Amino acid sequence: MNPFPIILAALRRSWLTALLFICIIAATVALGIAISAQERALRQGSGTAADAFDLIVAAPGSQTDVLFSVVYLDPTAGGLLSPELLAALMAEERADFIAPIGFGDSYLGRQVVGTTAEFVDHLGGGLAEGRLFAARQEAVVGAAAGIPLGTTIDIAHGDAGEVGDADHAGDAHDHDHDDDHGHAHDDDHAEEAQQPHQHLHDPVTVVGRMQPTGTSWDRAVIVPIEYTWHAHSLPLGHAPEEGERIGPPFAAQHLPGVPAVVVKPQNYAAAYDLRSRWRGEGSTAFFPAEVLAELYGLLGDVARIMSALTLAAQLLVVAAILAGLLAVLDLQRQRFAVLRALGAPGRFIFLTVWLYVALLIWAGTLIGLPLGLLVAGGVSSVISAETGIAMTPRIGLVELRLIGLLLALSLILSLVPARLIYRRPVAEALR
Amino acid sequence: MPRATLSVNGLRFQAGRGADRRTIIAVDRLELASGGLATISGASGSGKSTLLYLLSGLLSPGAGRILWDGTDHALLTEAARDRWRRRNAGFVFQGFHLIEELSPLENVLAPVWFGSFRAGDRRDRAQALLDRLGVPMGRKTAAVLSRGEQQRVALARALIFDPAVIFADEPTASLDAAAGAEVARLLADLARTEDRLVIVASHDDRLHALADHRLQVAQGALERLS
Repeated sequence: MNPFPIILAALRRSWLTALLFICIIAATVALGIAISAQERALRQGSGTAADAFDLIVAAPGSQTDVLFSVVYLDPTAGGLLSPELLAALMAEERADFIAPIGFGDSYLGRQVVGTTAEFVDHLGGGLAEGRLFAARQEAVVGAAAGIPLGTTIDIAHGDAGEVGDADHAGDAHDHDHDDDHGHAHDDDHAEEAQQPHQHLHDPVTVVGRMQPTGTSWDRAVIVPIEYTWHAHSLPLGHAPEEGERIGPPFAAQHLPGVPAVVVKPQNYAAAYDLRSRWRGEGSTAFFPAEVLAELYGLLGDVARIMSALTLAAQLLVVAAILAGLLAVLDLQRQRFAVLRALGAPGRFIFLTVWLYVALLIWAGTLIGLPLGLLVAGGVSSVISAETGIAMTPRIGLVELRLIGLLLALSLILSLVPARLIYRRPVAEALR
Repeated sequence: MPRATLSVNGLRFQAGRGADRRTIIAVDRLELASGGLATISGASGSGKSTLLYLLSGLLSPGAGRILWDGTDHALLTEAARDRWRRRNAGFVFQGFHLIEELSPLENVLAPVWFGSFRAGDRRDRAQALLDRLGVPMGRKTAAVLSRGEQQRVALARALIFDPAVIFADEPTASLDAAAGAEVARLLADLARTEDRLVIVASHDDRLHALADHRLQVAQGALERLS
C-alpha cells in the first residue's frame, strides 16, 4: 500500500486549510514550550545571579526585599543594620571579606552602588579592562553599563528606578562622543531640567569595567562605599586623622548604618556558623539560595497552573483541529468513495486519513518546538534588558517530554477521523 | 471460455425506512458473459446506478444472488470484494472522478498503490494505455485536460489491471458529441476485441446502438430488450 500520493493530493487540494491548521498547532505548542523553558531560564538566571552573594546580613525584615535590593538592584526602603552591629560584623574573622553595600544614587538611569573593591573583584571574577577603584572619586562600571573608561560622571541623588530609563539609555551614547574630552558634564546640564534628582557635584572617574556577570550589576556604576556615605553626609568609616582612604579596615567608631552587607565566609562551616550567629534581634542573615528556593516554590506553583492551563488550551486546540479536519475530509468523501469503487480496501482509506491528520499535527508540533524556543529567547532578552539578569532558555527534558507526549497522542487522536471516514457508505458518497 | 460470466437470480434491493421502504430495483434473472457491451437504459432515478453498485459489490442486495464466475459475492469478505474490484473490474464515472492534483499517469497508477508501495512495471503499462487512448503527454495535473481527455484517463485507470469487467455510469453524459462518440466506440471496442464484459448505465442512444445486450429498467424492474 502506498497512501502517500493520495495524501499529497489531499494536501494540495486544501493546502491553505492544512497550512492554517499547522500554524495554529505550532503556535499553541510554541506557547507551551515558551512558558516552560522561560520559567526554567528565569529560575536558573536568577539563581546564577545570586551565586556571588554568599551570605547576606541585613537589618531584620523581609529577606526577599533585601535579596531584591542587593542581588537584583531593585532597592526597597528597609531598615538599616545599626553602626554597632556593622562594627561587630566587620570584626568577624572567619570571612574572606565583608562588604557593606549602599544604594540611593543614580547616574542616567543606572544604579550607583557603593561597596568595596574586594567585592567588585569577587563578583566580576576580575575586571575586563582598567583597574579597581582606589580612591573615593573613582568608579568601576558593569559590563553593560555603556560608559567608557576615563569618563567623568556626575552622580545624582535618588534611585534609578524613578527615572525614565529609556531616555537615559539614549544619552549614554552621546557621551561616547564626548569621551575625548574626558567629561560628560555638558550634557548633564540639559538633563537637569527633566530630572528631579539633585546632582552631587562630586564627580567620579570611571577607572575599570567589570566582566559580564549575568546579574543586574552589569548595568550599574559601582563606587567605593565611602563615596555613597559621603554623598549622604554619613560618617565615612575611617577616622579623620587617617586622611582620605577607602576600603577595609574600617574604624568602628566612624561607621554609619548600612542596608546590607555581603559576607564571603571562609568555608562551609563558617557560612552556617555566621548565618546562625547573625540571625538575632538586630539583624538577619541568609543565603540567597534559601530565599530563592522559597520564591521558586511560589513561582513553581504559578508555573504549574500555567502549564495546566496551556495543556488544557492545547487539548482544546487539538479537538478543534480534529473537528476542522473532519469537515475538510468530509468535503473529500466522494474522492474516498471513488477510491473504494476502484478497489481500495477500507484500511487504505483508514491509513490515508490517519497519516494525513497525524502528519499535520506532527508538522505543527515540530515547528512549534523551535518556535517556542524563539519566543522564550525573545521574552528572556526583554527581561534581561530590564534586569540585567542573563537568561538562556533551552529545550530541556520537560519540553521534550511534552513534545513526545503530543506526538504520541496525535497518533492515537488521528485514529478518530480515520475511523469515522473510512466507514462511510461508498454508494451514497458516489452519487 | 469467456473471461467473465455474470449470473443474477431473484435480486431485490430495497431502501428507505418503515412506510417509506420500497424496492428500488428487482432483477429476476440475468446472464451475461464477457466479449460484449451491455447497456442499461432507463429514466433518471430509475435505479440504473444502483444496479451497477449492486453488481460491483459496492452495495449488498437485500435478497437474491449475484454470481461472478460462479462465486456468490455476498459470501465473500469485504476485503475479498475490494480485491476483486481492484483486479477484475474497472469503474468509469460520468464525472470522471480523477484526482485532479495528480498527473494523468499517477491517476492511472492509483489502483496499483492500493495494493503495493511501488508501481514497478505497471508504470510502463499505464503509459502505454495513455498513449493508446490518445491522452496528450506531459501534463502536470489531470485538471488541465479537456473533458474528453479526462474520461480517457479514467478509462486507462479502469484498464490498469486488464480487468475482465468494466462498469461505466453515464460515461458520455458529461462529454460533447464528438468526445462522447469516441468514448462509446472505445467501450464497445474494449468489450469485443479484448473479451471483456462492459456494463454501461446510460441515456446515450449511441451507446445503445453499439450494444450487444440491451437492458432497461422500468418501474424498478430490469428487462432485456435484446
